[in-house]
Amino acid sequence: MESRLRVLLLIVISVGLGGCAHLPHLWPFHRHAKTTQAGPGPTSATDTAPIVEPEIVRQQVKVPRIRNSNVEITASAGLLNIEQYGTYPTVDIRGAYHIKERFFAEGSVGISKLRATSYVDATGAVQPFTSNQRRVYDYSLDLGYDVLPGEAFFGRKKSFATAVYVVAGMGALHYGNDSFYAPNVGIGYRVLLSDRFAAHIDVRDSVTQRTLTGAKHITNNVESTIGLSVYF
Amino acid sequence: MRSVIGRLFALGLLSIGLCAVPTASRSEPNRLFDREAGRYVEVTVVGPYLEFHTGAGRRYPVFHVVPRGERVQILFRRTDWFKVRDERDREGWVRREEVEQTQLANGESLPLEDPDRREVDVLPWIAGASTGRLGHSWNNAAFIGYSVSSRLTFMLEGDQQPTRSYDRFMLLGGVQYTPRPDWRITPFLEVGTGLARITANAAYAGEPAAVRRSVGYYGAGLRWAVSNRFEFRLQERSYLLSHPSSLYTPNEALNEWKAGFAFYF
Repeated sequence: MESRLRVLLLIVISVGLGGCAHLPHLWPFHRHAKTTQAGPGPTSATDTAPIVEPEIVRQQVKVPRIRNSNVEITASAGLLNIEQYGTYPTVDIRGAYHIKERFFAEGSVGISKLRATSYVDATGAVQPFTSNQRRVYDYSLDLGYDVLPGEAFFGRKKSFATAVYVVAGMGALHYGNDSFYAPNVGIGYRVLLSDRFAAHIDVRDSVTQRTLTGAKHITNNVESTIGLSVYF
Repeated sequence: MRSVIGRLFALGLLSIGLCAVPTASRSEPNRLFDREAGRYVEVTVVGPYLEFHTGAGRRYPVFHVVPRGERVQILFRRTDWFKVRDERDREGWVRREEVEQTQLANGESLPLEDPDRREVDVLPWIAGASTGRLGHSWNNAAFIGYSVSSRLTFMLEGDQQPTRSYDRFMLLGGVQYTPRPDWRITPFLEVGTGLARITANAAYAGEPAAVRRSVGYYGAGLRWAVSNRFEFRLQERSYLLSHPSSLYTPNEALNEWKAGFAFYF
């Protein structure tokens, strides 16, 4: 009998507490909690703060440097025609810097040597050039532009990027103990054999003013070369 | 007995074959792309796609497209074009604007903005060439400079004046000041000093000889920035040559105007 009463009492207490829990406005401590929640202050921040703070650690990525490959050094060989003096083998070294997609700046130096009797042929003089006077030095500083980028196909599977380019600039020619200001224009064809190597075919005309026979006249000195270049 | 040996042999072959299968699958990712991981910058395409061109230029045809989400390696750069390799080891040229639409493994994009000539910490060097009339003859010049600020540049210049009578070589060092580097066409002032070496040529009547003279110059000019890294120049200079020699044209003061180009790197 006593145990039944205990059970009944427990049921009444539990139901009563449950009911009170559903009527929070009756309790003064709940009102206090409500006011503190509504009011501003540092406690509101702690209330709204997430229980678990995510630890975000950004992945550190070591980025290797991207190599620039804008410099092109060309070694070329061919023939240089000095007007009235004949045509002679020549070698050139050229350095180019590719500024934009199709623009490049270029500097070149070249050497050649006239035949021993070339001065005699040209002027009829008795005294020919000395060995030093027969040496031809030339340099030029140019600006180039790729006018016709394209592709060349070798067989069915192999293709190479190519470009026809034009150059113009100024320079000088020195031979026969004489120097000449020589603006030049030219056209060339570049075949990119790989990422590093390219082949060139180049024709340039250096225009000089000369007074070989007394009167001033314009001479065209055409240089035709084949070259191989390396990109750095 | 023979059959037992035969079975053992067959079992051995089978086990070797089974061992070989995972070995073959391990050799699969041993491609160029994976072998060279870490050597090159590796990015993921987040833009719509990357177009592979056959050459470093817009006019070269597109032969392959890498879709969004695939990884690529950036091998090297030539002007505004990048040589790129995809996961199947195909290589092509991609323009800068498309490479900018990629992400590194940490979600950041590559810093590939086109540097401006005024950003002297990125492009401190300048080089170029010019030609013009110095006195009564043509003069060629090549120069290189280093910018310590967007306004101030130290220059080193080599000149040659080829004439029938003489060759005048000059090595000059100077400083160039650009008061308004933000203008596209902007004036500049310059001052400098150097050495001149004059060598006799065929038309000179006397003995072949060489003379050295010290030079001072000042001048002004205009720079016209055609692009971020390239400009044309027009300038006027006054030279003062010390120790005039009676052997050659005794020019104590010379004027020069010249035009040229320069690029930043």
